Amino acid sequence: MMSDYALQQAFNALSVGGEYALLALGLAIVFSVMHLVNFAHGDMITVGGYAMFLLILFGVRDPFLVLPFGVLITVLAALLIERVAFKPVRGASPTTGMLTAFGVSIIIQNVALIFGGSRPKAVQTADWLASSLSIGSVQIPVVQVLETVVTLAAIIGLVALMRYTTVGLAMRAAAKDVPVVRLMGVKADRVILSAFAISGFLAGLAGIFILARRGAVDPFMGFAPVLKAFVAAVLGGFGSLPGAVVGGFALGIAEVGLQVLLPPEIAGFRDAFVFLLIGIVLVFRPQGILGERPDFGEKS
Amino acid sequence: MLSLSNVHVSYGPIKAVRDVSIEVKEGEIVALLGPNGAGKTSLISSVVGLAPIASGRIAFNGHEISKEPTEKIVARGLTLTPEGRRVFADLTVGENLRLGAACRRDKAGIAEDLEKYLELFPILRKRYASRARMLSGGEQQMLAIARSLMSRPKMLMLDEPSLGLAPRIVDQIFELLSSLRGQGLTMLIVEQNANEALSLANSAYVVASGALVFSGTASDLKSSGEVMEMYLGLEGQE
Ligand SMILES: Nc1ncnc2c1ncn2[C@@H]1O[C@H](COP(=O)(O)OP(=O)(O)OP(=O)(O)O)[C@@H](O)[C@H]1O
Ligand SMILES: [Mg+2]
Repeated sequence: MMSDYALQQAFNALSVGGEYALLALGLAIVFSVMHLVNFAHGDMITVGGYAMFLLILFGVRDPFLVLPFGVLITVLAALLIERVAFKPVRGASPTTGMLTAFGVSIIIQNVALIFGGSRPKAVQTADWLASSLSIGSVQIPVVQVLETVVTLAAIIGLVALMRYTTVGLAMRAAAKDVPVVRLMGVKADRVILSAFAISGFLAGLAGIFILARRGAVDPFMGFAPVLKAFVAAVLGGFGSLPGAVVGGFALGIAEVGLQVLLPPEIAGFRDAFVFLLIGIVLVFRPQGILGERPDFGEKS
Repeated sequence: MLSLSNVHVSYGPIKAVRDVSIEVKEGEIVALLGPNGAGKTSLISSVVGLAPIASGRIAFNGHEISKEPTEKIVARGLTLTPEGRRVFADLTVGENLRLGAACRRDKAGIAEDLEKYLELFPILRKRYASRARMLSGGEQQMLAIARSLMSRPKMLMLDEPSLGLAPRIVDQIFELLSSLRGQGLTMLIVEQNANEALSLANSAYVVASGALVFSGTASDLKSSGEVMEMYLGLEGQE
């Protein structure tokens, strides 16, 4: 039935978009407070993934332990990377930061390669994640429903945090004027660590769904996610948090939509069409859908 | 309360402040005057750790603060309303004020102060939910001052609070500063608007090209025609 198929694909688009939104938000929140494009963002997911793999290896199978453990380790990985790699180059040029991020990424990939080998390792997240829900005659994978719900909850939580907590206000303010945030008595360190913690948390959530879909970890599993996050963030407007959400969903909907709509002969070129669409958007809005034009006027 | 001894501020090879010593006593208003580029902003930014101190000592209430981070100095009760206001444009008026109290933990006291300053600045109550970027220059200056006050400082430094404002608004700002003095707030005011600042100040310092060229009481400065003319472009009173 056509409408069933449409409903299934709509859910698919929402869940893929949600995953991209979570990833892009993580990238954007770090970029907004410290103007760092963290290309190691995807590799934090790798770290979380391997942590879950190891925990299962040691005999812990309860998903209610394994999944939160994965998220926790992703957060800790993000905080550790900030302390060890990014803090020493704070205040250096954006290029330095970006190269540092590449360095971190390469190190994580190689550590995983040395200790785990290049072959994917199966990780059984939870049976119920891989099952489907029946809504009438439509089958919707549980992972898609959960992903959509979790994304929305995470976005609502993040909005509340950014509006109602002091550290959230400070993160928004720090995006524009770090010295004056410090004049409010807020430690720059606290703002930056919070941004990394949130970024790691969002990556950890996305990581669970990525793992539930692929069912395995490998050293380079972080590459595709960070690429999608980057594209979604650029599309939405780099550094803008609402932009990251909009960009993530737009990218997910475009991918799934084109997959469905393109005739089978050219469906293989889907990504080319996706990038063409994004190119067209950026021609008309170089700053991205919700991005701000660079402000050359007022300096303060 | 605040004492600067032989402070030098340098940005790499650029020496912005050379060997300046300043004393501010509790309850006093001190004016720091001087022409454009004299180093006024550099000097008071260095006091709160936002400009690089090459050498010299700064003591606040007996604590050496010249090597402390900004947030620690603010927590000690010394803050700055920066040049150009620098309100958080994308945050609402209310959010700016709440962030101003970020270093405090006394919820009840914060709520009390918020109410107090919304009373003092009715315009901020009216625009409470607007983004700060929507405010006029004068309103933004009021917000910047109120935001500084939300940290409940013992001493407030203001960098050109009247910059770019219409004369009527400038008068309002100085009236406000005078009423804050009445509440016992110690202030160091950097101004180009020397006459207004001197009408308020107890003592005054004049810097030019990074060095101190005058220090004394406000009335000494007003009667020192030479300094007034040479550095401040004003007629003395003699
Ligand atoms: N961040 C900086 N890096 C390099 N040089 C600077 C910096 N800030 C100020 N200067 C230089 O230091 C000197 C003093 O500048 P400062 O802003 O402190 O003067 P000012 O008295 O506040 O001037 P104004 O009245 O225009 O505000 C100037 O020569 C200025 O060019
Ligand atoms: Mg200045």
